[in-house]
Amino acid sequence: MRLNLKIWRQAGPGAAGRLEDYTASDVSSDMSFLEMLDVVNDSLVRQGKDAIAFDSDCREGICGMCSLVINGVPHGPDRGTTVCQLHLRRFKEGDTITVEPWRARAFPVIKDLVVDRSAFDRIIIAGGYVSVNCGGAPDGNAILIPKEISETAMDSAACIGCGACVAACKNASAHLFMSAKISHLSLLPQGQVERYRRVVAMIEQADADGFGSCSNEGECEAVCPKEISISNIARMTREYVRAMLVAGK
Amino acid sequence: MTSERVDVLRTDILILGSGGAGLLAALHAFDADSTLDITVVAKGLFGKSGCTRLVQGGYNVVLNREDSFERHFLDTVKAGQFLNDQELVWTLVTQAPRCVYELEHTFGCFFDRNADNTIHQKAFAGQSFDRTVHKGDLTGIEIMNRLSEQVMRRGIRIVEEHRALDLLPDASGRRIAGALIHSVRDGRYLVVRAKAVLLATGGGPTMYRVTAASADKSMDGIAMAFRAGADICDMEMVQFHPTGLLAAASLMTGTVLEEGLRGAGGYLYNGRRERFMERYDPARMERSTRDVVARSSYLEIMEGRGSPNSGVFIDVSHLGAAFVEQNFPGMVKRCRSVGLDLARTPVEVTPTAHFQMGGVKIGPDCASSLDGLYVAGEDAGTVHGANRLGGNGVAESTVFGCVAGDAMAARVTGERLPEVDMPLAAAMVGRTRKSLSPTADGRDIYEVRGEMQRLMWEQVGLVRNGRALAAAAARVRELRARAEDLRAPGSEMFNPGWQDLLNLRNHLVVSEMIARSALAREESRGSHFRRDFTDTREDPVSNIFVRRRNNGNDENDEMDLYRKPVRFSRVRPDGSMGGAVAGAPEPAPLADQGE
Repeated sequence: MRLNLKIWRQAGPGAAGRLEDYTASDVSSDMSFLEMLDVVNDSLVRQGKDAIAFDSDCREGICGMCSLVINGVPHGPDRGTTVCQLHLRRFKEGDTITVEPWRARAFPVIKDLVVDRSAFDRIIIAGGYVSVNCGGAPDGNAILIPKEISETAMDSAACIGCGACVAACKNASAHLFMSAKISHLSLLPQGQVERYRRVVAMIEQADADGFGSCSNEGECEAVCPKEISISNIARMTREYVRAMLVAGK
Repeated sequence: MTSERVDVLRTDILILGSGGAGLLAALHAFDADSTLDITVVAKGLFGKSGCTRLVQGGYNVVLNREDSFERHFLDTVKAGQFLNDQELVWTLVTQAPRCVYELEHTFGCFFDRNADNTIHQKAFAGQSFDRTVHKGDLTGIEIMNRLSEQVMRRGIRIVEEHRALDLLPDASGRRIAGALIHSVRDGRYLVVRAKAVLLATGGGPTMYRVTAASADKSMDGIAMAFRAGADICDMEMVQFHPTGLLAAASLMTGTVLEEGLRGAGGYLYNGRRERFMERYDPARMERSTRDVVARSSYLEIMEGRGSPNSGVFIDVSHLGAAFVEQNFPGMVKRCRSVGLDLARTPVEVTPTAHFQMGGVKIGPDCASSLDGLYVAGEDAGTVHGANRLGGNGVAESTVFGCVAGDAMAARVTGERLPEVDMPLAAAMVGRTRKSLSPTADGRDIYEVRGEMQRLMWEQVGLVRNGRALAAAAARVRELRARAEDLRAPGSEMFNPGWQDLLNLRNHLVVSEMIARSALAREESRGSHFRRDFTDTREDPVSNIFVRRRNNGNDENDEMDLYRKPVRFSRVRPDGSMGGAVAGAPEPAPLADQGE
């Protein structure tokens, strides 16, 4: 099949960018969207031109590297998938497709379709971890947790940190990302020790990095490749309020 | 364009690779001595790249009182057909429980539970006990996310989107003193000086046409170790996973449908709806080891009994759609993404290149034959012997990551930072820079890569013979020479075409090692199957070593092959208790084949 592409090209962080036209001709409808970009790059390299930069790694929907806005929607039109799992059969012969990077103040463009997502790392560093050490190696099964709680916690832990939630949000809010982490850790016994400090520190860091607030539109949940529920945000807010109460701030 | 100046970074411990092995090494070294300066280099994004993240099924570990270290040990050595280093296997099985506890207790991982709240362990193929710990079928994400959080929390230096180009010796050439790394983002070069360097870049035999490894993998670690002169062994032992998804023209072809599907009782059918494993391993059927199942599938396909798209079928529908959807949600989703319903219908699968059992020879503390260089995870060899058990891969990378971290922390204490050979670093920069040319047409990069992938799959793949191997080795060598002359077009910044060329060069070096070692092993053992030598006949069983002939800086250097008998330190193939092989002969050089 043949597709017309409008792809964001930007030479570097400070440079002006623009959408440029490309054609993917003779691609198979079985290909994934990223494989189609590989084909375009292959032909650019053959012509002695600079290939289009985009992040990708596993191509199995797990790594969280790929980060493209397809026709205005992060990760494209399919629910619960990353771009690497989006297939060309989703499009029609001769379609024109716009491809852009994540757009958020906290995610500056590095080149073309690649953005700097280190602001997420800074949020994690602010508190998104467990620091209790249960000691050496007593009994492997010393942490006993009811199955339902562990499953709820693990649904939140499925976050791959891709940043689509931020890209989809008109406020460029990191609330779904943060709340997934906070839910996961606050539900597990290992995460109790710094439970209240964590939620405050992470939210403060997100504010400092220029992420916006949540206005309950639910766009984040709609694009999340791991279908993480917006109810996590409610849990985070509850944790935050409780932390304020405990801290007496 | 970048200036000619090359920046220098000084660190105590340099870790190349940010998968399970690299991160646990960093955490262990830091926790041993938090004053150490530790640097982790990731080729992709930190926490997001590497194959540990892709681990589905799980982690083999002895936790149940009815299981034992002896059983896990024997399962591993038998699957490896006695080519394993038994001391490394013993470390693996005895350290795995401590490592799993530590992942939960110290780093915050959490694995699936039984109804009584204890850790759930599931069945994997080739094992005498159900000992595979997991988090659904997305175990790798759980491990990698928690470990990367812990590394970030400790403030360990992270250098992401940088690829290591080569290891750097000191001026005397007597030890490894750092590495030259290169920013994928902006093309800058950085010399990192270190007291100890860990190679943990992961393997990933992506030089095969059908492969399961993630796309940024290019066997960089083994290629760098070879160029630096390290002893590398058992490179002919490439594992093919039997159940790679067949997804038409998509790159999803080759991505693995996990072992637990066979463990849970899945059937494999050929195109005639026969459970063909009856012909090859009637006792274990589909739960036979990966080498046997993959080869059996391949032979069925070659003999014209394959499925419509030249594969075989895996069928789990008889287990019940609800059971499959509940227990293998990731696999169900993966199949659905290419339009297939795993829970209800048979799905076409193909053998897929999955794992490199061979690698850099290490001692019990992960030290290589080069002073200052440590190796852990898939870059290291001889843990799995001739065939790796499912679930032993992530066990290896985590256990030996911990071992390497402890060993490096102990070693660098009180040691002075060695000087690196700066003229050599400058020459390496020059050579890499030369591979980029704004006026080049990069046509040949993909032509050479395509030929390599076909050649490796067809002639150095699941079923081998001497003539084809000799021809393949010679051809790969020609391609190696050709790749040295190739140039990529474009800029130094985030240039995928250039990275593909640098990957290709490493792939070709390692491909030649695989073909040459495969030619030298004139028997069939585990994953290595020779049509012209079908018996497992070597006596004494030997590891085949590869080493670079000169330590100069030639671009197209020779390989020396030699063999050393395996030391059965705990158990012999006949089942008797082991011990050093009496009067073991000195390493014997092999005739130069394949030239």
